Amino acid sequence: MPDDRATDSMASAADNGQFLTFTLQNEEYGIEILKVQEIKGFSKITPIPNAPPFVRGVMNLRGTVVPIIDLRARFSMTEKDYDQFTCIIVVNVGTRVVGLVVDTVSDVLNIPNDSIADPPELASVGDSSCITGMGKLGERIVMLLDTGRLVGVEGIPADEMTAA
Amino acid sequence: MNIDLEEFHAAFFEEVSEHLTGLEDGLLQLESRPQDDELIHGIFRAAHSIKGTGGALGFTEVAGFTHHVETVLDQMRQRQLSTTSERIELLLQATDALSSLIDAAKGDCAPPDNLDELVESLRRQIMPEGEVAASVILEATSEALILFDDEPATPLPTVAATPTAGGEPTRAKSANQAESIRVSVAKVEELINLVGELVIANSMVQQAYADESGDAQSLQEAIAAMDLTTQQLQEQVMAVRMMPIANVFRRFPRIVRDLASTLGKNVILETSGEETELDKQVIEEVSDPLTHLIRNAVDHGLETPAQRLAAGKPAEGRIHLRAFHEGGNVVIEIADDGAGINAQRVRQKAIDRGLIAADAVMTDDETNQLIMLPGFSTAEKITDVSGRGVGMDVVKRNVEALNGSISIRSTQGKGSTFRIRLPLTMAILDGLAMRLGNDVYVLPLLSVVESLRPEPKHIVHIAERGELVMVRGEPLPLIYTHRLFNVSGEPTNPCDGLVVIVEHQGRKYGIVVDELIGQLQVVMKSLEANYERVDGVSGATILGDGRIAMIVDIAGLVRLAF
Repeated sequence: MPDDRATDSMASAADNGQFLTFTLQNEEYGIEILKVQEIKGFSKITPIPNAPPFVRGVMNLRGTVVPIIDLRARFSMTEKDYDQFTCIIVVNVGTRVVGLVVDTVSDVLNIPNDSIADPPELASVGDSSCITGMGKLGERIVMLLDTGRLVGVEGIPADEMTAA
Repeated sequence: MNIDLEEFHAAFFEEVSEHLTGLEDGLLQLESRPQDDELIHGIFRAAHSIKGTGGALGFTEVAGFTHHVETVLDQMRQRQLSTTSERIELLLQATDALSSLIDAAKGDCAPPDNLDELVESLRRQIMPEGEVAASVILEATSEALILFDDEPATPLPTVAATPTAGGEPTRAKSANQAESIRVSVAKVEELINLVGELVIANSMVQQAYADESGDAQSLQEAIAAMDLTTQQLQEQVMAVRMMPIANVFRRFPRIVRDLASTLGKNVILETSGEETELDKQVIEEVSDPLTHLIRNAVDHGLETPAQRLAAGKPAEGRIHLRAFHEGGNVVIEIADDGAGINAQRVRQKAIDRGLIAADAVMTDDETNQLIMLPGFSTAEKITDVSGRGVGMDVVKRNVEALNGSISIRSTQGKGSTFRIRLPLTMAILDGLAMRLGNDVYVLPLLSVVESLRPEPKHIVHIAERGELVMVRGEPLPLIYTHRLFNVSGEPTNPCDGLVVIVEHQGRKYGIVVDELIGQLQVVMKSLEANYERVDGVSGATILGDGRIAMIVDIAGLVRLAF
C-alpha cells in the first residue's frame, strides 16, 4: 500500500523508536522492532525459479512459505558464507512475512528521535533509498532501514494476462 | 421455488457486497495510481459483475444504475475519460448509492433519494463523447489500439512511482472473502472421533518410543495406526468441504429463461451430472465464470429462431450443461448448438487489436482461444447482457485462479463447447516428485502421461530450435527445466536421466529430469501470499522432511519454454 511507507517513516519519526540492530560487513543497521516477528538461525532454503539474486528462496516457517532475502546481496556487498552467527530476521511487511539474512543480530536499541539524522546523501551501500535515517548513540552509528522498501524491489507482480 | 429464489438472493447479496468492497477499494487506490490499467480493469469488472448478476436476478434498478457507473468506468479504462479526482469522488458516491440500493433490495430500508441526481451527473461525464462511446467498441479500433499501445509502457512508471508495492497483497488474491460453511453435526462428531483416535495413536507412538524395552515392531504398529487415522481424518475434513455442483446449476434455468425471452430466442437448457461433488470453495468461485459462459451461449452462441430455421436447424437452441469426473478432475462443459465461432473474424479482430501478428500461423482451435484475451470482444452490439469484451478474460482468469483450465472447441454452423477442467479441491494435489539439481520439484500427476529413458537415437536436435524426443514415432519437444528455472548445475543427459512426458491442452511435452523420487500427495501453499507469482510454478509444498518443494505449473512451464 502506498500509505504503508508513509506510516513507516512516521512511526520511525515518533519520539522514541526501538530498533533491532544487526550487522552487515561490520556496519550496524537497524529496523523497527515492531516489524520484527522473530529471529531464526539459518536453515534450509529452497530456491525460487528465476528469482532476483538477492531472493535466496523460501523457507518453511512452521508451515508458512516465507521468502528469504539476503541483505548483503540486496545491497550488492561481497557475499559471505553462512556460519553459526548468520541469522534470519523474520519481518512483517503489510500482510507479508519475509525473512532477511544478516551477518549477526546484535541488540535492541532505544534511539530517541532527536538522535536520528537524515539519511546521508552518499551512502556506502549500493541502494541508499532504503535508509530512513542515521541513528547516533554515542560513538555508534546505526543506519535505520525501511523494511517496506527493502522488500519492495521487484516485488510487483507483473500482469500475466497479456502474456497468456 | 420461493425458497430457491431466496437462496439465490442471499448468494447475490453476499457476492455483491464483495464486489462493492472491490469497487470502493479500487477507486480509493485509483486516486494515488490513476495510470494503473490493471486497477481500472478490476474496478470495471466489479461493476460489470454487479450489473450482470443483478440483472439476471431481476434487480433491475441495481442493474440499471450500475450500467451508468460501468459506462463511465468503461470510458476511463479506454482512456477516453481521464481519471480525475472529481470523477473518482462521483464514482465513490455512486458506489455508496449502489450499496444503499442493494440494502433497499434486501428490504432493509428505502432506496436512496439522490439516484436520479447521480445518474444525471454520471451521464454528464460521458456526454461529450457519448455518441462515440457507443460505437467505439464496435468499429473504431483506433481507440482500442491506443489502449494496447499504452500497455507495455505504463507498468514502468507505475513501478517507479510505488516502490513499496511489495508490501501490498497481490491483486489476484483480493478475492479473499469471508466465507462460512454449513456442516452437519454428524460430520463434526465424526471429526471429533477421529481427532480423539489421532490423539490416542499419538500417545501410542510416544509410548512405544519412550519404552526402551519396546521392540521396533510396536513402534511400527503405532505409527501405522496413526497413519491410518490421519488418512481418515484427511478424507473426512475434505468431505466437509465437498458439495454437489447442483448448487450452482440450479440457478441457471432461471437465467437462461429470462435471457432467452429478452432476446426473443427459444432455448432449451439441459443439465446432467448435477451430483458431481466439488470443493465448496471451487464451487463458489466457479459460479461466476459459469454464469458468464451460459449468458454468452444464449446471447452470442445461439442464433435467433429465424436464423436457425434458415440454417436448417430446429427453431429452439439447445444448451447442454454437464459435469463429470475425468481422472481426478471435474470437467464442466457448456455446449451449444448455435452458430459457432467465426475463427476468421476472431483472427481479424485479434490482428486489428494488435493481439497477434498479421502473419501469425494458427489453427482454428488456437485462434478460438484468443477470445479469452483481455479487451477482446466480437459482439456485434453492446447489450445489457454482454459484449464489452470483459467476459471471457474474467472467465479465464477465474478458472485459472482455481488451478483449472478452459478450452474452446467450435465448429462453424454446428456450435461451440466450452470446457472447464477443475481440480476436485485446491488444497491437496497428487504429485510426482522429481529432482532437478539439488532441489525437489513436484509435477502435478494429472498432467503426467508416462516417464521413460530415451535412447540416444531417439533424440533429434533441431538447429537453434531445441530438441525433440521420438516416443513411439511421435516427436515431442523436450523441455529443459534446469535452464528455464535457472537451476544450478547442468541437466543430466536425458539418455542417462529421465524424460517425463506431460500433456497440456492436448499437446505432449518431454520434461528432462535428473531423477524421479516418487508419487506423493502434497498440500498446496501459495507463493503469492508472501512473495509473488512465479512463472512456471503454481505454488509450493512442504515435504516430509520439512523442506519446501516448488510445484510445477505445466501451463506456465510451456509458456516459458516456447
